[in-house]
Amino acid sequence: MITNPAKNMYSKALSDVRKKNTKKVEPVKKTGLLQRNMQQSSEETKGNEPYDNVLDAMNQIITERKKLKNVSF
Amino acid sequence: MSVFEESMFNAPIPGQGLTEELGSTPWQHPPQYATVDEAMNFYAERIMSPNFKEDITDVMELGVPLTTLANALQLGAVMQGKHTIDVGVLVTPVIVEMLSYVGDKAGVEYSTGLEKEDVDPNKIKDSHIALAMQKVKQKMEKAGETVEDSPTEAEPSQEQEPVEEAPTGLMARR
Repeated sequence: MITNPAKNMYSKALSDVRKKNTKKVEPVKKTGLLQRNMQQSSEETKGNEPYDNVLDAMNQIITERKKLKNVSF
Repeated sequence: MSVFEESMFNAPIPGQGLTEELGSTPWQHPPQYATVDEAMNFYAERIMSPNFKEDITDVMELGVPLTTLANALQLGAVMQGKHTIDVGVLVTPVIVEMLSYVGDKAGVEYSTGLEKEDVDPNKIKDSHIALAMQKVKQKMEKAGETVEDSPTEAEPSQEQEPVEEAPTGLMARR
């Protein structure tokens, strides 16, 4: 069966954008010997990969589309 | 001879791909846009140009999915040596979003290609009807007939006044 690679890529990127938009709150361990903040530092989360740029661009266009009309996303 | 056998004989000779001189095709050269950012800017300029917008909205109206359009666009650019195929695959989702933005702005109904189609055997697609209409128009133009876009309304039939039948029977008054 011939599949369209663009279709697969687009559906994957859409799910990744959704994941990126939902903020995940990591638990902060304040008691015990191993006190630490499980949240990643901003430098670690800052993505410089090309795919991250693609997701950012997609996010921007989606917000522009939402402004145009209420697109269900 | 069957179609399969015929297509076998039309296949390229093994090693034919190596007979061309190296560098004779655009994709054998370094790409014009090496990074994803550069490629995105290239597509943004191209898709937002007014001529392209008009053409692409026509294609969208025919019912071609946006993912198919995006794939064709990026493959064409790879063949022209604009960017590599891996950059093209990475950029594809952005192209789909740009195309959907153009479609939204133009008010065109489009399909992204991710929708599940409910196949109804009795329902004919609008795109098929449009294509059939176009073919019929071309045939009629070839035959020298004039094509009327809007069908003329049939003249309303004159209502016949009911003819009173002559009373019959024993009790009929004359």
